[in-house]
Formats: sequence, structure tokens, C-alpha cells
Amino acid sequence: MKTILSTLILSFVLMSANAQKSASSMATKNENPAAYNYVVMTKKVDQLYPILLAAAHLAKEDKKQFGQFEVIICGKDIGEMTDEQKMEKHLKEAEMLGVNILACGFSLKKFDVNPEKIPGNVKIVENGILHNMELQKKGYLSLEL
Amino acid sequence: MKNSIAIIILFLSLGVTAQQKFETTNFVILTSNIDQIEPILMAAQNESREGEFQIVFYGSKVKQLSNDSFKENLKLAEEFNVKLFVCQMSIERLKIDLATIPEEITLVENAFLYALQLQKKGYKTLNL
Repeated sequence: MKTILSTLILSFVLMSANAQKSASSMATKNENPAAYNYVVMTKKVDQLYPILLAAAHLAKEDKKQFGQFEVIICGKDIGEMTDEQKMEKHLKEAEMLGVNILACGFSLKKFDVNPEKIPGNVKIVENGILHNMELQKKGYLSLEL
Repeated sequence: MKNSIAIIILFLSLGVTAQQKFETTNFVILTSNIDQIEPILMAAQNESREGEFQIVFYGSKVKQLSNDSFKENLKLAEEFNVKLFVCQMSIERLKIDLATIPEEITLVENAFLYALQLQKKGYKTLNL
């Protein structure tokens, strides 16, 4: 009986400690709301339009808490990024919102796209997937389309 | 002795309840492949699941939502307490008549925005 009793007491103490731990971490989160950062990875250049609309909305919604917003383009259609006419409007919009548009260097290489033909204000990251995961490790909210 | 055990069990159950409250997980799944609803609903069919489970459809295949064959999924979604949403931007882009979309499916203005907003609220996301 004693063993049962002590086991029960011990598990109760452990459980309440756990519950308290999650409660206190939630409280800290609420007290120090970090800026929201976002990363969206897409294989379709045309999706830049709804993505940038989402960014504009979030910028308004988050106000001062709106942090970084990065869009990574990767995949077989990455060559579309060399289409100046198509990209110009998106890049202007992105610049206004403070959104960074990035190209995946790995995809450029794989699909034989000359990095020099990618618009100058697009940063090239070596590996889009890795970059996305690194940002997620830093707490970025993410979408992979 | 019996009384003290009863009191301890009462406290224990309170502790468990408190813990469960913090562990409620909400899910949102964003997909452009309508056929994936079947495995998604299977994943949602978990009796011990608490919290929300939402599916947001977007992209060029959303027209399939108006098909008769989709009706069975609507029933299952209701049964498993899964909420369905569709991206209005996709519907407008594809010039789909809104009246053909089942009323059980709620419109969201921009699927990407919606999914990010739910993530801000702590939802776990899966993008298919």
C-alpha cells in the first residue's frame, strides 16, 4: 500500500510540475510577443501574387510585430524568374512591403538557368530547402507550396 | 487510508486535466490536390483528437469540389469534425460559379494568408 501511495504522490507531483512548466512558458510568450517572421517556399512564380497579397495583409495586421517575410522560389519553373516583365511588378511590390524574394541556387544549376539573368534585387541562396529549414529553426512561420 | 487514496486520485485527475488543456493541438492542412482529402480525413479520424482540424483547398483543381463524388467526403468531414475551406482567389481565377461549391465549404479570401494566420495562433500546419 505504501508503495502505491508514494507512487501516486510522486506522479502527481511530476504532473503538476509539468503543467506548471507549460503554463509558465505560455505566460512568458504572452508577455514578450516576438515579431512574426514568415518564409514561403513555392515552385510557381505566379504564386508570388497571392503570396505578396498575404504579406501586405499580415504587415497591416502585425504592425510593429511584422518582422521578416521571405519568399523562396525553387523547382523546375525557376527559369521564369528571368522573365523581366513578369518579375518587375512582383519585385516592386515586394520592395514596398520589405519582402525578400530569393532564388534557389540548387534549382538554377539543375535546370540550367544562368544566375546572371536573375534580376539583381533577387538574392540567390545555395539551397532553398536548407534555407527554409534554417529559418524555421529560428521560429519563422512557414508555408511550402 | 481509503479516503486519502480517493483524494490523491482526485488530485491526479485534476493534474491530468490541466495538462491536457495545454496540449490541445489544432491542425490546418493546405492542399491543392483535392484527392488527398481521403487520407487527410483518415488522419483526422482519431477519437482521442482534441482541438480543431481544418483543410484549406486552393489551386487549379478546386473545381472538383463541386463534383457529386465529393459529397461523400462532406459527410465524413462532418462526422469527424473537420472543417473545410476553399480559397476565393482560386475560385475567381478559374471563373467557377460560387453556387456550385457545397455550402459546407467555407470561403477564405486567400488560402496562404489564412494558413499563416492560423499558424500565428499556434496551429500545426501541413502543406501538401
